[in-house]
Amino acid sequence: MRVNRHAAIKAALQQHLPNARLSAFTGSARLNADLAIDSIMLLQLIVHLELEHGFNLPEETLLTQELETVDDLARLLVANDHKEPSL
Amino acid sequence: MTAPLFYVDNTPYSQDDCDRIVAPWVNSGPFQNPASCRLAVCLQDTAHWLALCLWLKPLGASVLPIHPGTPRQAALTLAKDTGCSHLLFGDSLRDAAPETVDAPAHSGQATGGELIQLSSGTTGKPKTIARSWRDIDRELTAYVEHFTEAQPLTPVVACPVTHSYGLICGVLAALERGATPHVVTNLNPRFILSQLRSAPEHLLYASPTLVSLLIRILPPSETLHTVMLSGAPLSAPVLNQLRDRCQRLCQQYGCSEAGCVALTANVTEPGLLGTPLPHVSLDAGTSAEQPDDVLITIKGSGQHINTRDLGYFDAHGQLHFLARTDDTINVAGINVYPGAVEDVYLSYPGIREAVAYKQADSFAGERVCLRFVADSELDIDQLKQWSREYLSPHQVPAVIEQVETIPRLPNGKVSRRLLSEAPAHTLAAEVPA
Repeated sequence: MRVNRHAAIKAALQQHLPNARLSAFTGSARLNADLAIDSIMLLQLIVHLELEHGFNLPEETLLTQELETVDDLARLLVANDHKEPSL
Repeated sequence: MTAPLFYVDNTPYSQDDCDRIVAPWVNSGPFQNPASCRLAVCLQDTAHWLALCLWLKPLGASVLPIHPGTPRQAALTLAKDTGCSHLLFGDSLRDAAPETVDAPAHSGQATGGELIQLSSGTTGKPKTIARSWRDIDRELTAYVEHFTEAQPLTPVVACPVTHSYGLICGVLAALERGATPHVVTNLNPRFILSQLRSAPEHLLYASPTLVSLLIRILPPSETLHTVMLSGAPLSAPVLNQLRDRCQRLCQQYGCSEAGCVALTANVTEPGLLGTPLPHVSLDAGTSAEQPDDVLITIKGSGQHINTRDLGYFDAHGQLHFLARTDDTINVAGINVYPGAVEDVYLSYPGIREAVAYKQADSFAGERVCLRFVADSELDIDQLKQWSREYLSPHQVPAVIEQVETIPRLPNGKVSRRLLSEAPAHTLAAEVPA
């Protein structure tokens, strides 16, 4: 599962975020400092992971210091299977 | 427990909480004489920034809010460049002892204090803009009076409250109308949706990018309630997509010097900016065929501002934006507005982004050029041929290039000026495939 998540992150970056510095991609790469992913790019990445790779970040997950590296992001992702409450 | 003044994510903050947050600083250091303070503030904790701002505003202090992502050295430089006497930098107010900034003495501070801001710098170097709190209060009164549709709604502010849009129109206007703003700092899209669900009659303040992303993961059965747009008008296809997914789509327009100056609570087409707010008078062209620079006069101070935006009033007195004056392309004496060209190409299947810009031409003066990003490789000749059905001959780009990516400024905006200066092949060379 761990490997899948990393592969999904890499694929989403490759396909949708050409501004990211993909050559530095490893599990321990820092999203901002190493891969040049800013907050809006991170948001885009999360949306692509949700729509195309079946993962999401549960709503209680905070995007804070605990989310610094690719490994952190992979750890926070969960498989996309729960139902949405309606507005 | 007293009623919440505002929320930051899930945490409510009452007036008592705010008083507790600022208590250590009352009557100490530079705060002994707040009216003579010129403070730069860069705090990670948004609630602490808001508590400080709401405390200092009525005391007549001057404040430069700095986005929390800014490194210390950069914050210090900003503080110096804007003539601040002190910098407060840290996670929260508790660990941000005011450090003295070695800046040249600043003269000419308005009595009653100022909010100091830096303009976005889309067209050049950012410049310092100081607005008196009195001026901002006039804007707030006008904004609330004009935007009556907001009255029953809960503002959800998912944009920085260190900038005018989030701070003045999102937070301060909410407090002015007696509402409790919900400030969202956690940018997890699911978290933002949960905040919107918990306030079903919401008024969302966010960047167009964020709104577009939220709508992509919003289940098809759901809609957003009311959404405010600001900044550069969206393209027609994106705007229509948003209109389908929210009950009310609003758009506001303004500049750093004057704040919000026009607003519509129903955007029906991309450039529609609505009617002027009562604290300003606006001059612009008289029709789409005869647009002119949008000129702002602030009624209270008599200050005149040329926005360098090209616009016009329609027969119903609604202001329309056409282009930045600098971005308008003059083809042999005929004005071409980049947005009009871009909207046509964006309606072509597979084209995701399109930016029209100008290039000097010895015959025509200027020529329209276009760069686009698409899902697959497109035949340029075929595309050009197709576009002739929708564009006048002078609007059809002389050069059309398909590119991997369109470079953007740090604030997410496209600089057509930079595109005009750098040919695509040099940009492509900088971005490894």
